[in-house]
Amino acid sequence: MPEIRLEDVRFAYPGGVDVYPEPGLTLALGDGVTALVGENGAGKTTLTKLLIGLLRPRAGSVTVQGEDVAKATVAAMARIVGYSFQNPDDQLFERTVRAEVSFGPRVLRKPVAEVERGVAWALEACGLKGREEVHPHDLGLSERKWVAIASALAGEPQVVVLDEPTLGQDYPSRERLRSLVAQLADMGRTVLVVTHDMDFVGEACSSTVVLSEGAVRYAGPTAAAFADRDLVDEAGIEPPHVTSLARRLGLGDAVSERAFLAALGR
Amino acid sequence: MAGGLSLYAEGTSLLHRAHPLTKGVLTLSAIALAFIAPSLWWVVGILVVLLALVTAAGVLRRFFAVALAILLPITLLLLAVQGFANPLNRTVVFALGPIVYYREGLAFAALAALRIACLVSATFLFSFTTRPADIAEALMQRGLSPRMGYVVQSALQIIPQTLEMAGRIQDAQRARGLETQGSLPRRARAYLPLMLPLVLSSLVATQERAMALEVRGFGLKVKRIARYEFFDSTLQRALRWALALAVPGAIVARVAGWR
Ligand SMILES: Nc1ncnc2c1ncn2[C@@H]1O[C@H](COP(=O)(O)OP(=O)(O)OP(=O)(O)O)[C@@H](O)[C@H]1O
Ligand SMILES: [Mg+2]
Repeated sequence: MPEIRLEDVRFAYPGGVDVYPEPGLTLALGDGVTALVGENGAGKTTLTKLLIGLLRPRAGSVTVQGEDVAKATVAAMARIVGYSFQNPDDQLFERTVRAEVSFGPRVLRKPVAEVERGVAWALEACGLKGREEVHPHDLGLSERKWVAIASALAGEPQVVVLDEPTLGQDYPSRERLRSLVAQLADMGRTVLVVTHDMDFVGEACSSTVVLSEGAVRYAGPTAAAFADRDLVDEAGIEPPHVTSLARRLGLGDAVSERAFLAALGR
Repeated sequence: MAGGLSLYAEGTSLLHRAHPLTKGVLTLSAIALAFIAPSLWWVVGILVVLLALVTAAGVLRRFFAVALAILLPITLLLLAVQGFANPLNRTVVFALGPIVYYREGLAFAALAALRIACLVSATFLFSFTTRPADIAEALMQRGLSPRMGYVVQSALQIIPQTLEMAGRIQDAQRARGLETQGSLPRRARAYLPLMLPLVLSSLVATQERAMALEVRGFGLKVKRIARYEFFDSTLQRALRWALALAVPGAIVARVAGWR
């Protein structure tokens, strides 16, 4: 059974046109790490907000882990889905990093021991150790982004949805993110990452969904996501650098360093 | 500014195009006259004119949606309370056993409700057809200092901006598991975690806006060039004077015995 399922989903912002044209968006995602990519305005953020119920579809159905999102409040969905907003300033409202990160598990009324475990793990995994008492507003964009991610993780949700976590991250930060999503996948969680960073997609995401103008253009293993050059162009994405290099060397379509080296060694 | 932040409805009607000052004077005079006018029929007349303008502006449907929600409960409440309990009540309209409904109270309630209807219609007519930013701009073109213009502008935007900010904070809190929907006690409990961040973010936003204004030369003492000109005409000017003078005129008439 897929972890996340959208069926014929239609949605329009007030006064706007349909984000997902006829016949609506249909998509099934399994566990592991999935990348959601596509040009600006393709409808990625809208899709992620539908998953937790912050936006409600005009038609069609959304199910997450068997739960019909239409029948649940956003707060109820928050038990299952950890969500970090594209813009951390839309998400952060507490006065210290610790208060911010522990807000979720606290209002979900988890046992104290569980709250402490979840918060400690999230702070550690997001590189925020030692920053607990800082005001989130006094952090730079990249660190605010990390606070937002930690807040989404502290409740130990089964499904993790991160909207552009790679935004404004330097190399060590991206490495940390890569090991974080790998760790989550090892723990059996489902991770959906919206990103414009194709190198990250190639290295860290086993599956990829390409969305363009509100329609799913590709859904499947990342290794084959960049094979169709026309599709790649239309969706406003470019293959990972390592893929371009592999192609020029006649080594096929490797999407990650590891695949590249394997192809080289053959 | 996007429509979502204000009541303004995009349009091309005569009222949309009229000078903001003309609409401002019209609104204020209509409200004042409705409260000065001595009898029911005068107020009905003002209300009819306002509703005709609402229709002409093409915002009748929007108007009804908002106005009914405000006016219907007020009117019903006034009619009930005054008809049964106004101290001037003498003439019986009907009686249900011990409960008696009186004519004096009914008349008082009708007049009050119509005046409130004028107030609400005039205010919405103005809000639906005037971009909030244009109000301050028009006043500044008439010699209001930019500093005061900014105060006017901020005051007009405080409510929509605060609502937007509150919506954003609540989305963030819901997404983390705080129940903000459902029963009244539940929503009341969600109120406290909302207020503190709301006040703090408002303060931060104010500070940031002050810095943004400073770097754009807001504090400089130089001559300013209007961003754009509003459509004005002799007819509009005459109308403004007539409407503005009608208010003191009506007061004098009332004092002189207009019944
Ligand atoms: N609040 C809103 N009101 C009206 N239209 C909106 C709103 N938010 C997004 N849209 C529109 O909906 C469409 C999908 O937007 P969405 O934010 O889902 O795109 P996205 O794929 O996340 O883009 P990006 O890569 O820029 O974040 C776009 O055309 C956008 O302009
Ligand atoms: Mg987005």
